Amino acid sequence: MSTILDRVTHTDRNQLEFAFEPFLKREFRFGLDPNRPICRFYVQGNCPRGNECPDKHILPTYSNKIVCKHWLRGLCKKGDACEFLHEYNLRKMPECLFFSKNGFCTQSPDCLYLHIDPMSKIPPCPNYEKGFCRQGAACPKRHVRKVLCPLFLTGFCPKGPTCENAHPKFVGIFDKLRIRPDPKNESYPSANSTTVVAEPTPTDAMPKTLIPETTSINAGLTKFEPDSSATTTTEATPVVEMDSTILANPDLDLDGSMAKKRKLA
Amino acid sequence: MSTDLTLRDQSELNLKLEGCKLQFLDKSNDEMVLIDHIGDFYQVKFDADGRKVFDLKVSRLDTSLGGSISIPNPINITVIDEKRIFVGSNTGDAKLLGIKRKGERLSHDEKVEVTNLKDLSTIQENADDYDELDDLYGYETKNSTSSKNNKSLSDDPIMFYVNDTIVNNGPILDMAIGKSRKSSGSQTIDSALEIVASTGSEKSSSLTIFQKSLRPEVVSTLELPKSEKVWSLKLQDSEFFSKETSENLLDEYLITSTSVSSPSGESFIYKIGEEIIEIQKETAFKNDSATIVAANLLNDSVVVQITETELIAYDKNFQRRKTTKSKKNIVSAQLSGSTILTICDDNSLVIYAAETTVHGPKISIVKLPKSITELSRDNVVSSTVSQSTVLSTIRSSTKKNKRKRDEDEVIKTQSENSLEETVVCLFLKNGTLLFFLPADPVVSLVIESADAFPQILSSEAVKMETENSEHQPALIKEVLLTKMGDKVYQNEYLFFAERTGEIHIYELFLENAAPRFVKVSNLLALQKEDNEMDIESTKKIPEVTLTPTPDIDGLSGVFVTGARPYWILKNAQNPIRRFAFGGSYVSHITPFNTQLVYNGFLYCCGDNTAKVCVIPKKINLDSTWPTQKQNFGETIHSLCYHEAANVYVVSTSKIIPFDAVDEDETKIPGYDENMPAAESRKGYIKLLSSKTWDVIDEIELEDNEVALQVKSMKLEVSEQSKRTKEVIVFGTGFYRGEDLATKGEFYIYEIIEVVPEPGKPETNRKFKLIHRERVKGAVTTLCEVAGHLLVAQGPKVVVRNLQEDNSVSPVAFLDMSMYVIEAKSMKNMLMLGDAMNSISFVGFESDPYRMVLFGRDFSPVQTTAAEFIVNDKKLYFAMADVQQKLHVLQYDPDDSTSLSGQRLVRRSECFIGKQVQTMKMLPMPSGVDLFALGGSFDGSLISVIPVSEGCYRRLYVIQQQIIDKEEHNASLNPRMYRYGDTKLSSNAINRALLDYQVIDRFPSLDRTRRQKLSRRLGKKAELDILADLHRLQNIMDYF
Repeated sequence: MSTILDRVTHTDRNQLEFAFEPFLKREFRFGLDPNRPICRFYVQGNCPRGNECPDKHILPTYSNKIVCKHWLRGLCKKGDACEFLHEYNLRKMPECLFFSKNGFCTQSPDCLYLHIDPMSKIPPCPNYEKGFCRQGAACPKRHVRKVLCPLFLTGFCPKGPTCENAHPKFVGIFDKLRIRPDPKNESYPSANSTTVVAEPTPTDAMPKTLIPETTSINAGLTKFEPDSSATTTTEATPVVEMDSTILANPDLDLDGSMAKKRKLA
Repeated sequence: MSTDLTLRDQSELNLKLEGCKLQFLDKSNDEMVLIDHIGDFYQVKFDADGRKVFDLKVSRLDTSLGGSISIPNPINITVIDEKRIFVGSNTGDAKLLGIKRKGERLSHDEKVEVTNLKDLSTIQENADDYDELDDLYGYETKNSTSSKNNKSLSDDPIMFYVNDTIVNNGPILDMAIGKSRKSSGSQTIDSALEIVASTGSEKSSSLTIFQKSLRPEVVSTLELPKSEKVWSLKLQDSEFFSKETSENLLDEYLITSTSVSSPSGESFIYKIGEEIIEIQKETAFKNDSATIVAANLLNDSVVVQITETELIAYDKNFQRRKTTKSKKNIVSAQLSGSTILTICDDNSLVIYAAETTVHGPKISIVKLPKSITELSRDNVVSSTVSQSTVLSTIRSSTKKNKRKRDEDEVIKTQSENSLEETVVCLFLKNGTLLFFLPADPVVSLVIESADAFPQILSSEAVKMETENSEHQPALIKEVLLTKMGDKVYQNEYLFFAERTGEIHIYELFLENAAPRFVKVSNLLALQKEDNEMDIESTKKIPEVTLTPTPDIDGLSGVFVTGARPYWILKNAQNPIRRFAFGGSYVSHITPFNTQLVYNGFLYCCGDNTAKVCVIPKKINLDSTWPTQKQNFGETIHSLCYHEAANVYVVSTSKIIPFDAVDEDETKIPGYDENMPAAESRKGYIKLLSSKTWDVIDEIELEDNEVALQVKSMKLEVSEQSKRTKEVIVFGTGFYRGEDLATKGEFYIYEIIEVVPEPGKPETNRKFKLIHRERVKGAVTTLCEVAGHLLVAQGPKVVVRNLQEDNSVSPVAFLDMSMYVIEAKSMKNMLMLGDAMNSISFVGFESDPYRMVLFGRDFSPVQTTAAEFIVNDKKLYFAMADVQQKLHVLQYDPDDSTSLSGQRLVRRSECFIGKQVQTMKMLPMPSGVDLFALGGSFDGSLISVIPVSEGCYRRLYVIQQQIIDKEEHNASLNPRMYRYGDTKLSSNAINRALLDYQVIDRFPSLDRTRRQKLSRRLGKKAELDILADLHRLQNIMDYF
């Protein structure tokens, strides 16, 4: 019964098939898989299979990616030979020159050309994306704030790259940035001790950590949402030795296929 | 033409006469009533001297004089008689109004209430019988006799009061399908969905909730082990209480029992108090066998329990007062009055009579005359006993003959002065129906071959020439004679239940000494689909049984128990209607009255629980589907249901004065401040809780801006992850002067969760703006296509794309001819209905973005609503137009007439007699096919359902036969009505749509007629046709 309810309220009819769909494919090249391969022959100029060809026929203009401003006004005389895109997609408009120079546009709401936020032109910081950037607010690159995927954090996210949350890899983080594990004499029966055993790091030899041991790994993890404005360059940034902890923790590594999962992530 | 009439300036009334109705009130032709389009009443009075009119006075009837009655957009004012008018309305309820003068007011005010109810029955029965009406309206005769008084009164302002109302569910402007809500505190049976439609306009505007089944409000659920049957009983100390007090008595005891067929029969007794407690130990109740019937007898002073072998009478403390053993095993029993009717396992009949003696109750066998015992021996299929008037006319005629012989009895019966007597009705194996009075068995009525179900059952009926000589064994399982109706109108009905679940209903007419039963209705069983029926439940499904339910909430009806229970109800305004009962399975039902639950009922669900329910007060049973109205008070233009938040969003508008300004907000030349302003509208978007229908949040639009359509859709916000977000999108248009270009705007909102106001948990939602954009041309319709948003703005449609950062940008467009009325999507294909030029079928594709016109219909049809129909991998379009026609088109590029797909193939066309304003796509119960449901201006829902080829052929033949061979109301031709005006080409593939209204007559034809009509299709065709009708009947069971 619940299936019928779902069918009434959901408008998702994608499983339906129609007898005329092959005709549409043939006649209009409509309904083909957008991820199909590009036809080699068509790129070279002529495909013998014509409309019957199952592969993608991309017009040479399409590769330009930028909408032809003359075509938009109906004035482009080049037709198929035009080096600009003849497609009504305002996401692919050329950039508004006035806006990029002055930071504002006199035509503001009606301007068809792209107004790109100057911020978005700065490339994102690769370190930040991996999990941590040492430079914090001083970093010249952009720190895009994202939510850390809790599934990824606890070991495995089934959505993989399609997940809307961030999957930071935490690679290239120097050992000295990591939270120092507990000194051995203080016996914590927690996961921290296993960390030490599993991944003996040179930290043992280092001076005492700046972070009090009470800020446990978990507390650190929940706060882990690095933001250039928030992480001010005070004496030492609290860095959480997260990746290795999780990897090393046999309790969390449920089926021992961590390596594979990391690859996925 | 000229006039001497001096015209007076009455502009202070601010009267707008567009769409008003005028009607003379009396024969003197000097007084009229005027109802304007808002629904206000005005009195128009002519001052005349002889034939010359001096003056014309218009006065508004103020609120105290019936001005509180508002009938917006009146269609007609019909004078029924001097004291009553009937006013129909396009957008509100039709009302029967009584007229009074102000002077009459004091003396007759209290009478209004009383006349209210009785009024209707007198209209129906004695529409032209004025004498009786005068009795009813005592004051009327008084007034007409004292004509002097009358004259002076006629100068007083008139006032109206409502006598009766006919509920109007129209015009349905838009509808949404949402999950059925559970009211807080008591859980309703959640069977599924409901249709919420916007109906009415202005003050009469409301949300109407349509549900297919009657969903009772469950007050409490009781754990009653092994309960298959249940009876609630009331008892009083002695039998000398008057009858009226006993009616108000509350139920005190509950008897439950296992079903009779179960191997180990058990019965239980409970006392109803704060809790339901088993009291077996304190009583002498017989609990080791199943109870067949338990009931109160003798003015509720004793309880009679009938088991297989015994009839036991208990007193108030449940001590045995009398035990009568039956010689044979009893299989069924009925009680009425003081008569107990039992049928034994050898199909014979024993009648007992209960009476009170000094020593307590006494139950004795009634001796029947030989004629009846001989007829009924081993022969009774089913029986019923009730207080009935069936034999009253026969009795009075036989009385005359008997007078000489039996003077005493005549005197006795005359002194009774009541026509109702205990009548026993037997249905015998050979199909004969036998009525007799147990008190006076000489009086009897025999109706032969009742099992052919002719249109009229009477003793004089000419014997049908049954064509198949061998008589079919009677398939009748049960007969029942009972009263149905409400307080206004009640009559007796005779029910036949067949083994197949079919029920035939006859209404009793008494005339010329011969009682007749006229067939009024025929109900097919509400069978479950075979695949839905799991093995477990088939085991315990009891046979369908009829249980009369007298006076539950004022309505007496018959409840049909079983796996798909339903209620047969009748009220004064409507024919017999069947309402499917929202609960899944009911094995037995009984009325239930306690302090907490008044006018409720109790039913066993078969799984050791019983539920105490009441019919929700707001439910209106005047239509085929139960409806509920939620008054809103502002015109609703459009509405939608947001699934994730379980809320409704409606677009409403209020009337504001129009300010004629140009683009720069300056007054246009020629603007006169002193003239009354024209009307314009200001729109609002409101968020409604589906639980309480309260407004939770509101968006106020600009002056003159009205949201034409509001839709909830799931838009794709990320191309990468294909993540979707459910958003509310609405498009608006501005009412402006004709010299200005139209403009519109569309808004995208999401619904967020907030902390609710204290004490109002439903207020936890709010609108949050995502995007708004001003466009050229009004935004007439919106649609979701493959995760993108389609906006119809002016003469073009633009597909837009919502991104994760809440930015919206157009990605594709298509130019249309006029403007788009309707846009619907199916996968990545679209149907666009143009205001003048029918529909186009368009594909939308991303990567690269483009819109491709596949095909269109070239006929000049003004679309009002359209929807897809999918059947067997074929795509059809159902389209309604302003000429009240329904078109069915198909996209079929293989068809030669379609010019390889460029043209949509016209499959059918028919007249539906109503303008359909909105359509929704719904799934068929099985398979992936879809059909269309439409809501129309007159408040009715229509559905266009695809059927299989075999089914179509069968039903088509039956339809033709019924049209050709049966009689029609007023000799109207159903075929001309549907197709008289259509121009279908003679192409073989063009097919007439089946008309369910015609086919629906098939089951109610009598048996031989049915066989005759279906013979053309083969020997077993009748069963196939009934199965087809079943399937159609159950198609929207999720509502």
